[in-house]
Amino acid sequence: MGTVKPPRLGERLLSWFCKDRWTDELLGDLEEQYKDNFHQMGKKRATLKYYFQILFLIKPHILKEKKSSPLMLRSHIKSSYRSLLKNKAYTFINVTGLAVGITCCFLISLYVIDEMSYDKFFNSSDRIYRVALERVYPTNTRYFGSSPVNLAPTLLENYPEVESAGRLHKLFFQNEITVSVGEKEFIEHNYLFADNNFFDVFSFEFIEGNSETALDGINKVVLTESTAKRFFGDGPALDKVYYLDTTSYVVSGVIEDIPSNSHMKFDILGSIHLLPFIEQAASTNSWINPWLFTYIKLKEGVNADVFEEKFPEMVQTYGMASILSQLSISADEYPNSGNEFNYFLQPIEDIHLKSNLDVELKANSNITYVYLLIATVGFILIITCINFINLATARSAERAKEVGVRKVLGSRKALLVRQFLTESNLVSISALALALGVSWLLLPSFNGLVEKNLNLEILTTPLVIVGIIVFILTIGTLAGLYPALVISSINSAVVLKGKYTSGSKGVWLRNALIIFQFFISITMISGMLLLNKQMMFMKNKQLGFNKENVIILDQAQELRTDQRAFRNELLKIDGVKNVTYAFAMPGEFIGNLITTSEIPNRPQVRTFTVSVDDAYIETLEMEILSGRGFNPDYNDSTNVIINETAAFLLGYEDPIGRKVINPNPRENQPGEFTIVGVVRDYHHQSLHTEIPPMVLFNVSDEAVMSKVAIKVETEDMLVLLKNIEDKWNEFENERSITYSFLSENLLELYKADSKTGSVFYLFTIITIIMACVGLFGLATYVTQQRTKEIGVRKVLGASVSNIVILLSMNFTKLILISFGLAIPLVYFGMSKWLESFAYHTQIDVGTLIGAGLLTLILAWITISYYSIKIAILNPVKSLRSE
Amino acid sequence: MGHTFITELEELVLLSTAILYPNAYAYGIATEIKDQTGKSLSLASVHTVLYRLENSGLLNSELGGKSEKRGGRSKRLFSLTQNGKKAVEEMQDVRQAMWAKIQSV
Repeated sequence: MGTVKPPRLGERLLSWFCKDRWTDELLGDLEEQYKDNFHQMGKKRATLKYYFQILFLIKPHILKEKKSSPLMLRSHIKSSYRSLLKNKAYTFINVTGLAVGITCCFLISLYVIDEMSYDKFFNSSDRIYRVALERVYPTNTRYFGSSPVNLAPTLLENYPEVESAGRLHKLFFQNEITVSVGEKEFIEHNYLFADNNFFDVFSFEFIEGNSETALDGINKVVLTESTAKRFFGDGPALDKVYYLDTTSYVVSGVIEDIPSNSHMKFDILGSIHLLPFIEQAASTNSWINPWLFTYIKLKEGVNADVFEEKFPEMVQTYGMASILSQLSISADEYPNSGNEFNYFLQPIEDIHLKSNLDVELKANSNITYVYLLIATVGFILIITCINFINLATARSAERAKEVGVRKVLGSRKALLVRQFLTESNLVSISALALALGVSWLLLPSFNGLVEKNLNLEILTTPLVIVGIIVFILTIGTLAGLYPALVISSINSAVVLKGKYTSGSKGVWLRNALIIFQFFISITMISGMLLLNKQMMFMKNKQLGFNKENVIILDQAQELRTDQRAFRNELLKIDGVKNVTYAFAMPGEFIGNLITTSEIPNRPQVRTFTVSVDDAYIETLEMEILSGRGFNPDYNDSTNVIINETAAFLLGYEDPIGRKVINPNPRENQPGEFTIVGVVRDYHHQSLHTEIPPMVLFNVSDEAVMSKVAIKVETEDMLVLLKNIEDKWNEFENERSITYSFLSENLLELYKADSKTGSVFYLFTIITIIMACVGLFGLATYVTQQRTKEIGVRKVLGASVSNIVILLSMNFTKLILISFGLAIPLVYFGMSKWLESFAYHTQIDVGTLIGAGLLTLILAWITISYYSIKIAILNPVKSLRSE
Repeated sequence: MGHTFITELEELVLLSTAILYPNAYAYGIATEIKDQTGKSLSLASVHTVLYRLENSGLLNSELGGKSEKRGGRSKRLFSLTQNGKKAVEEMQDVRQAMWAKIQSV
């Protein structure tokens, strides 16, 4: 019985946290209880109970009081301050390094928080969904954010789960409208159309007018506050009138400006009833054309996933008649026709980051980029902390004497640890102060880079302040803890005898940390190089037409019937090679049309269509593979040119003379077209998507088209542009000329990529600089310790280059190891990323080796500064040191 | 009347201390309460109550009573002070007075 003993660990645990006056009696009580329990319920449960009892004992009145007094803290701070001041270079590296890390962290956090906040400002935004459409065609599948006209009314009338349903429309074909207010004219880019229910779904704040009647008539418009101010000045705008061409519109409401963190953006909101094709589709109960964006708000407690399951039945019940008549097939044929209309719900809060459908209101962001940035900022912070730890451990030899003396004078280990932690926290707090200042200074330029309007306001909320303080103290403590423990456990007797060298202690960890650091750097550099390569690839890819030296003029419809005369005048200008009119130039939005082949039983092909004049193919230097281009000598009004993909999908081996059939021609439209030429596949759209089947229609010279492309060849572009402008002004004196360059317009398609790219470049460069700064500090200290050794080597005849190589060798080995580790990660990670582009570059060995070499060279430069300094030192000096 | 109100747990601890006198210490009190009421209390909660009662002058304590079972450690032995006695007595009086007024439960 006497052999029963409670676990020793419990005793130690208790005496560690418990006040001395209680320890003894409590341990006694615990032991007694343990013994009783032992006999009643066996060893296992008794032990478990014993630990639980100890755990419960962690109470305020039992816990030890903190021993450090404010006096001690003051002493810690004072000596930290002195020590930091004494080693200015070290302090500088640490504070600036950490400040850079924290600044990056702040800026990226602001960016990420903003990205995550999209569309959350609407009332009950978690119940608002967009109904999107997965349209499966026999040959392909397309995803529409938009949906047919009658979807919203159907949902609202027949489904009790739906609280409200609104519709929004965007005119994809027209980029700008000109609004006349009195004498003034405004060119507007952000105008959308909505029905009145739109305001039931979205809680826009009305400053003037009310949501009930704002859009219930065709000539009513709602303006945002700033737009109203622009148009009508500071006074009330309600019931004021503006003109679009000759039609008047009455302002029936003014709403607050839409925050920038929304997936929709408009200054002017017109009524969808204004648009004849929508009215017509609605009256014929069309379920075919996804022309509108449908937003619904579900009632509280409705599960979206469950509700979604009702959609197939809805299509069957309400839409099938329209679908069948449009596809001209019978209900029996439909299931095997390869056509599907699958609707699904997208939470509006997710649209900005997760929706990347073929048809969107505007280009959305991508959650991958958000993750990438979070990872990057994590890396930067890790590297900063590693620098902190590495430098501190490397300096342990220097601090050893101080620690020895402190120990001899009676300092306990805990006190020493506290001393070092005070020091590291002092560094992190000063870094925080510096980072706040720098963030504030850099924010405007960062805003410019990411094209956002971020501000530091969020830093004033109490939760964030507490978070930042905790974060800073954690970094300070984490980074200081390891060095503190290492240095404080130095044997004072050894140190004071002068025998202590930092030796192998902590070298293992230090090396591992360097490997990790450069592993990150190499990964990021390769990522950056590949990103760059892909951007170059997209910029330089042969597009199937020549985008260089092409000037695009917008608003050509203003010329009206003078288009032909204007072209003839342009051709007279020196340097103008060719002129073409069209409804869309490469890179711009184009429509699509369901077509069928002459060959029976072939699936329908959804082709993209663009109407062009005779000179289009020639001006853009596309290649005709067979047949001919449009030609003024022929009447090409029922002839078309198709691309290779269309020829393939229609099933024509020799397409010239064959037909492209439009199964549902509108009134006064021909139902079939004869193919007169095949053009080599060219990239009308961005390289994110594959080349679709395309049909080029010819328009007669009388038709008024919206775009002019001018192929030029000149030494002096400015003079040429001036000449073109003069000609324009001769024909059109109301509207001034708006021109752009095709090659630049095409770059717009990759704006999101290049924007994220530049943010990524920036932070990659910061990461590398941070890694090098750390290496520099470390190399300096390590080399310093070898001063004597180098002196001896020199005396024995080593050359400067010998010594520099010797000193670099260690770090080189570490970098090579990290290179080996980084390669597989980069390879797999980047292949995945590249696959998101339909047309992409390949990962080549050259890029990877390039990244490794770049890192190595940067590291060598960093190390060599101090190595050379030491290597050329006169050995007499170095040997006499100490 | 009514200057020190004590909680039920405090009353239980005070009564157990009185029962076990002169050998009342934390573990013993916890066992006593368990025997009397069936409630199993952790040492920590008993200790907390004892500490509070001692602070408010209802209990006295001294060290003593080392035993082999406790690994040779001493116990803190508690005893009721005058105020402590008064507190439990008052509690009892209040109860009885109240019961007397009840016709039936």
